[in-house]
Amino acid sequence: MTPLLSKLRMNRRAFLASAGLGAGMLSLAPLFNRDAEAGGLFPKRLIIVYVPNWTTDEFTTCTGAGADYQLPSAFAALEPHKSKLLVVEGVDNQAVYGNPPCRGHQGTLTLLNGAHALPGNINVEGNDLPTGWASQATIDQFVASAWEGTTPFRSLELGVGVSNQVSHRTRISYNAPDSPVPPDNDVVSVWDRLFADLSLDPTEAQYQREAQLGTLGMASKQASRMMTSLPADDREKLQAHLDHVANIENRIIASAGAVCDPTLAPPEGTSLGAGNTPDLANLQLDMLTAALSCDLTRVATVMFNTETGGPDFDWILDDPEGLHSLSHYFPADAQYASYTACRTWYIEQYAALLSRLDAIPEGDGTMLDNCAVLFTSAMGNSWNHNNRGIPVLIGGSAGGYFDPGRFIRYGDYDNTSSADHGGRTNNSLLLSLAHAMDMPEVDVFGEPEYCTEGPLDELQG
Amino acid sequence: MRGVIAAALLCASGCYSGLAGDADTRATAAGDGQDDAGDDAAEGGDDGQDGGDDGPSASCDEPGIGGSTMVRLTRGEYDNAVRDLLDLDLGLATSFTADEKIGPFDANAVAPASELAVEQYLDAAGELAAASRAEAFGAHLPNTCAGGNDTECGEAFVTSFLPRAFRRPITEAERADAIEIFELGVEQDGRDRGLELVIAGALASPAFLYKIERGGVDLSDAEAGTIVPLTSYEIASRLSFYLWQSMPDDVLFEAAAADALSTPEQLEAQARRMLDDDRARAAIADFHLQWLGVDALPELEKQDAIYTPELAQAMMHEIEEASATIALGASGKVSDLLLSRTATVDAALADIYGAEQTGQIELPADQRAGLITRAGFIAATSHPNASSPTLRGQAVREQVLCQIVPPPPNEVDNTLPEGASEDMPVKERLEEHQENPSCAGCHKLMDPIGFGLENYDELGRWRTMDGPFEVDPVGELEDIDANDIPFSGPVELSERLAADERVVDCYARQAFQYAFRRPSGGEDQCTVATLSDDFVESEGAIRELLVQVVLQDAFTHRATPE
Repeated sequence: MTPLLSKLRMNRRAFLASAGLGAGMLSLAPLFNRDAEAGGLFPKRLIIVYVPNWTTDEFTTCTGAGADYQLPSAFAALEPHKSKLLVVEGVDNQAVYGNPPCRGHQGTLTLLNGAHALPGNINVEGNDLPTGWASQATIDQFVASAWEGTTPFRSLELGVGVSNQVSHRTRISYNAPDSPVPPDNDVVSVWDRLFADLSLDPTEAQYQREAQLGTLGMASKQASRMMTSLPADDREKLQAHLDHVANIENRIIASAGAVCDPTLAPPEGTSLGAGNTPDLANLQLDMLTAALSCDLTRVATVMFNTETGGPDFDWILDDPEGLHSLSHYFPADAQYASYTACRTWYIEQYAALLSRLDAIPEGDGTMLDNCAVLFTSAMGNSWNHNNRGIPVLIGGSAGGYFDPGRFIRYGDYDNTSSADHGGRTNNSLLLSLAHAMDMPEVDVFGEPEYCTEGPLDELQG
Repeated sequence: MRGVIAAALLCASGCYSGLAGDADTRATAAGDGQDDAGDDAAEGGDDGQDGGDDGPSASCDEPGIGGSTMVRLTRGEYDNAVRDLLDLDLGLATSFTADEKIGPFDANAVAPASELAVEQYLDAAGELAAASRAEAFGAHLPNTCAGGNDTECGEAFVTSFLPRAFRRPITEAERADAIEIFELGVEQDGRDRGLELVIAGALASPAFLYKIERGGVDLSDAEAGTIVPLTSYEIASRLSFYLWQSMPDDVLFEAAAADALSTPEQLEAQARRMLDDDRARAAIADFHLQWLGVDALPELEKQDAIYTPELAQAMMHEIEEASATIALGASGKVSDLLLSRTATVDAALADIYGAEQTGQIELPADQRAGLITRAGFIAATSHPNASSPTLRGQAVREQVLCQIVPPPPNEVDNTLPEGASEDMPVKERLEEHQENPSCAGCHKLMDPIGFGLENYDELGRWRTMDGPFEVDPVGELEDIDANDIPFSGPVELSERLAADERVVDCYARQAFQYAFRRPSGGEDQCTVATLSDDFVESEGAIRELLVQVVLQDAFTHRATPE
């Protein structure tokens, strides 16, 4: 008996466990044929980085205008990327203010789809109004659906320290009404899902594929037969399950012969605790970069921590108090510097992702040039739960669609917390992202009433 | 600015009318007709707070049955069902993506499975099947398999195993699918591989993963609100998942096969039998953990280094032991849950209580009374580094009294650190909540209850000083006629709650939500009222309530969702 690769997770290996097959050498050739894509035909990618409990204030606001702008000190890590960055201010997470009424932190329900939340009682947590889930697919899933079938994973949802509670506080992505897409915090599981199958030797891989496809085949036949006599709501649920099964089957089939250069697998038992957050962030961003580089997916979200929560940042703060608590101080309070340090750390993670993407050549440019990497949050002001003036940073030009290297301000900065500050809606931003991802026909995203001004044309220069 | 004003009004008006409503009736009202709710709530936005439909309407002669959809096993149910199906106790589901809740209870009732979850099911199915094979399939290998004929062995295994996995008789097509995957496995690596893949295929099938109910009829064209009686197998599963959080045992399967789960006598006998089983003890304990939010403890971070995962487990274990012992005792009452001082502690938890001994102890009568005074509940409703009168009061208000406290309006100043600082005791700090009219309406519902629990720090340790200030544990709780009556300290708070009929009514509602994984209002309100009335009549006798649940028409019928 040859021992199995010990760093691979048991459950991934389970279909092999009794086969006595050893793991093969990892292949090092990229799945994605970069040469063939020379000449500007590289695919576009949409990546969204979400951070919780944000406040847009003097420490996170640019000065100057247009191409002649200065980043605030909290954004210093973005200095090297300034020419590939759009900084946009004055965008409002508008649908929060509709019905059913939501509250500050519940802006996660409306941020990436621009649509009112559903009524219901899923989200009965302290300090939140009971609501259902989001009512429409979010921009990432909208794009993923349009591109379905082009890559093994329609999208990737990565979490860094997202709480294990199931609520709007821990979900930013939806693929349909009432259908949150959970982030995966577990770096070992993420590596397994992305790379484990690609690093088996051919005999072993074939043995596992047959068994997995047989298992899924039995499951989907069972479901399909049963489905015909179920009422409509149950059928919908089962159909969603079957769609996922089909995606997984396709992925298993596609893995035959595919090769990719994965990152080093995180050791089994890697701590997912808050104290390990910096390492977890690094691992997730490494794996995301490798997955994009192997063209395993073209759509991804990275959710940091939990809305109304967050770690105590004890790796940078001497007197840790907890991010959410810090976010409720005034700028004049002594603790506010700590809060700014937390936000600075998030920006550094975002900058580190841009650096990774910018280090991968694609044609005359880099992978970053073919991406739109959005940095955003549900609120523009955490201490008074204001959902106007949310942070919007876009790294990369989406293959030349955006004209980066500029700072664009909508509305009156000094009056951002007021409804009439003259800003734009997140719906307009989402329209711009859809257009940037080559879907110019999209003219409504979310509630039509918030789309009347169209996309953010200024982002195109 | 209009949005801001509307939001502020919502909070204030919501709280002033909040006491009249009840949490899940209101939530259901919103959830029932989504379109209507959305339209009605437009502009004024206070419709969602309407407490007008508490209590049954004119007639409950023919109780309705609330609509429900297919629910997926919770993580706890998955692990328990695997344990009972395969004698494997690997706890794999703890690493699954977490369960969606209805109210405080794990339910998986609304959102469909995510792709991540489906992939986790596939991986777990493979791992469990391999683990079963590694143990030579334990007691599940049919005698036929000793004969050496692979095909006969595979067929015998499918015949005995698959109906247990699917919790009902299987169809010919399902048998054929299972034989097909068995043959694939035989071809790959012999008979045992075949059996392994049958197990994997069964565990990955929706018939295992979901609780499917259609009353044995074709519901594909059924109109919304169509009510069908459940089949005996579906009732067996309802009983087992309700009382055991697991699949039916052989006795239930035999009763289902004999169609002996239909009369009230049969159902009552099964329920009483099942309540005597250890599986009921674990399930009912878990109900209480979820009800009080104590199940969140492993997720919570505390700054005090003594708060280890082991201490969190000890805190949960204490609540489990206390609640299951009371709830399943012959005469256990809701008031006992609120007054008991018997605790099961390890060394770390004994330290929290200042106790000298471990094991089963009696907590000091002047410091503790019932579950809301236990370390688990207190720690779950505190900040990482400080107590929180607001969070504690909110939990009592919402989970124990079944009233919803609306959140703060947008764009009011939320900057009120709750820990006592050097210059002000916490009570004084929170007075701002009472003075600011946009806060007062709601905080009045929470803070005054929480003040009564200020004798506990963020881990539930008893204290008489909070920093440099003496704790002032005088709080306020309205009586049933809405007169605010002061009380002093946690023991008196528990005594007040123990004598409050609203608490008994709320417990019945929570039990309904837990049993049915749906809110307790709407079409179900007559059923809930019946349960609640009988429960109040019995002065909160829990074991009887748990039995009464299975005797309701709602338990043996399904309605398609509105």
